[in-house]
Amino acid sequence: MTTATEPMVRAGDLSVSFAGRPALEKVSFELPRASFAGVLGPNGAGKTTLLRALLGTLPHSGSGSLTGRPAYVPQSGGIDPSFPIDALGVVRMGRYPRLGWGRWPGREDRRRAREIVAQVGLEREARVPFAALSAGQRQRALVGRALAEDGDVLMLDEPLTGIDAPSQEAILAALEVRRRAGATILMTTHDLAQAARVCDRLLLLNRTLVAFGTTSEVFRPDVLGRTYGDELLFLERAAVVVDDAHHHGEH
Amino acid sequence: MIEALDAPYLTRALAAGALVAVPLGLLGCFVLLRDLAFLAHGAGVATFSGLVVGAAVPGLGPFAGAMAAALAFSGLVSLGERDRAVSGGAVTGVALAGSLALGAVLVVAVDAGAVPVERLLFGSLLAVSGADVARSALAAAMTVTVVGLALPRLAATTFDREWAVTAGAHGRATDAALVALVAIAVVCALPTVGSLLAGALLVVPAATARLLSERLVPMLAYAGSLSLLEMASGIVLARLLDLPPGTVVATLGGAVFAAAAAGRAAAARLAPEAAR
Amino acid sequence: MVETALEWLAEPWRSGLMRLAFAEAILAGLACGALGCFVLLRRLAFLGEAISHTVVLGAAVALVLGLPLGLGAVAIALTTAGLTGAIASDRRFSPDNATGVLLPTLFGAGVAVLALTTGGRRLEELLFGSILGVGTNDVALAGALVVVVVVALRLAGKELVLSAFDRSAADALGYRVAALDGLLLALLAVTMVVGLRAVGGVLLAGLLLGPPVAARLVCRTFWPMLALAAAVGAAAGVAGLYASWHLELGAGPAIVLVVTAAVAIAAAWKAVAGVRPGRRRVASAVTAG
Repeated sequence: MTTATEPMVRAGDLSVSFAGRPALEKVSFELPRASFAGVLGPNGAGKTTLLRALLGTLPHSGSGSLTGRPAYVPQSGGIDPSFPIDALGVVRMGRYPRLGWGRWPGREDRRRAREIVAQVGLEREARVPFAALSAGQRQRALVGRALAEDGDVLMLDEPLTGIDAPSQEAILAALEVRRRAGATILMTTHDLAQAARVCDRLLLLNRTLVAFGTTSEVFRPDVLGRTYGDELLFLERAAVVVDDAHHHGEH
Repeated sequence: MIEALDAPYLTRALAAGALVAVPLGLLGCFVLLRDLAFLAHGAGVATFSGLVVGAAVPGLGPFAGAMAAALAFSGLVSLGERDRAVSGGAVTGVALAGSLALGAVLVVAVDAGAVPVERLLFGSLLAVSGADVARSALAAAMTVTVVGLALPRLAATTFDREWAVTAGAHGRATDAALVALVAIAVVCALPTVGSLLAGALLVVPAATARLLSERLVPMLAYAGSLSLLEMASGIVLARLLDLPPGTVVATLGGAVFAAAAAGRAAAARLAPEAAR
Repeated sequence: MVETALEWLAEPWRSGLMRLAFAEAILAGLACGALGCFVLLRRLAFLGEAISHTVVLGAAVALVLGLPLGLGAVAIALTTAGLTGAIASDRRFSPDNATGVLLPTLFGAGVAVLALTTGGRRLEELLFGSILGVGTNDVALAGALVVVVVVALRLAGKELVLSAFDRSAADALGYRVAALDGLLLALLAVTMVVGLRAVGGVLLAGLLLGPPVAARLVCRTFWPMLALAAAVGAAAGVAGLYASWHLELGAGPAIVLVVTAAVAIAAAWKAVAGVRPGRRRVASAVTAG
């Protein structure tokens, strides 16, 4: 049982390098319980690397830890969309990590899965094959899978990129519900304005940690300029966009 | 006709064939979904040299030889495919041809007459022993048990490996277990269908099952049943036509696939909204 | 000592049969080595393996109909490739799946048809090759087919390479990628007719993929790789025939074993040569910039 003040996500001089090239350099921060942190940065900044290092799937130096159970929504490039499974089945997969060897999802697992399918707005698509779902619907199913894991820390890698606005809103609404129930959320994103709107903390990453703090502290032109360099366009005082010519690059 | 079928050798062939058909069908679903058809075909072909060596070395036996060859092949190919310069199946192709060539050379070196090459390549109804039946039964029991116990892991790692590994499924262990089970099933199928066509029941019934279902568990059920029916019918037909059983089973499997595909296409044209 | 070595080398050439076999082996090795480079780069190894098996069906049907075997082989090559594409066009099936379905079906059917019609007499030569029985007509045909391949590569080689390397770029540049695919398939079918005679259907993948794999492990750019692969193919053909002659091995298997050894040597060379310090310096200079 974690106390209210114990940080749920901790990084201390977290560093990762690939074949001698640094991808992350001495990143340190802490996230308290029930915070919703956005990780921003240009392509190659190390956003995906940060998530993987925290989850323990990448070798790293320094320390990175999560308190409680993590639930992960990776970028969906590795999924074979023609796999025979429907939306409900994808969400139900989130129950698998809790099952021991030889156990299949039981009645409670199935009920929970149906509940979450409704939560992400896919009740009518529950039995539709994953392959036949739109990008937004697929993403909702994948987020639903993470929600079904009942994790304490939700890590999402660009969950809202390239999907329709209603799906984005459905996902954000479901995440907010989970946050109010005590989950901590760490989400990487390209969308600055959206991050400023929904996140209470921002991590600005460009291989090193450029800035970290509450949104109001961090979301300022000078800080953003240091993060994005000349990829940044200021349209007007309040609106900032990233000129992201190389979309969906591998971090 | 019933008399023709009522011979002990044929009963053994049917028993061994039916028993090994079930694991072939079940595992075939994962072979299909993980794009392992070439590897499976290659492993089957590679067993030929193992059979020859096993038959020649006293105390080893064809089964052990074939098993060693299949596992060595799978290991070698997994290693070779890591080099991106030559990945994409080329290593599999070279390895299976080299292994078959080795077997062909050894057949002559060992004793030209003693090892019946066609039987090893395409199977034979006469060559199935009681031990083969027992081995097939064991393979079936093992596969059904493991697949049953590990189905959530198998499904998750096949669908989205990165998520599954992060969530605690051991990706490499699952891969290795699957390859090992496939090798065992292939080797058990050798007496009935032979090296060159051992991969048939791994892929074709699963492909047919994929046409029939959009969910994994029904697909597994269809694949296992189809594989069983095709093997049994193929053996009976082979007896009647006096053909090597492997060839009949393989052709039958393909015919069933074609029929299912044609049926689906016709259904789609007749009811476009319903069939999607 | 030198005399015995020279005698050892010269002996097979005294036989008219062997001279023809050498010619066929060299031609098959050149064609398969060269075309195989495209099969390797386009990741079509399984398709190549499948076609070389299904030609048995093509040959069987041709025999039944009294047509030349080569015609049956080309027809079945095109059929196999076409059906693979048709099955893979269904989003539920990958090319691996499609080939996995067609290979055993058509190959099994081919062997069954052969068994029913000819009693399996010609099975062994279709499976393992019959290079020791080639006549002057066969060699002349092989020579003509190799000339076709060389001319095609001379005329359309760089387009084939471009579409192999970056299909969408080739398409964007205005090349008819479908026509290039068709050309490649036709050349592959032609090459296989020659290779079938030399090593047979079930070993053909070895001659088609082995020399390119060995060359790829050693070369870093395409055209040197193709030249080396062709050379390795031809040399393996010659060496295999020597092994067949002196060690009394089957010719087809002997050739493929030589090819396999060449691949193993190239792999070992790459593993050893990869730790040379020069390489690492080049690598870090590239990434630092």
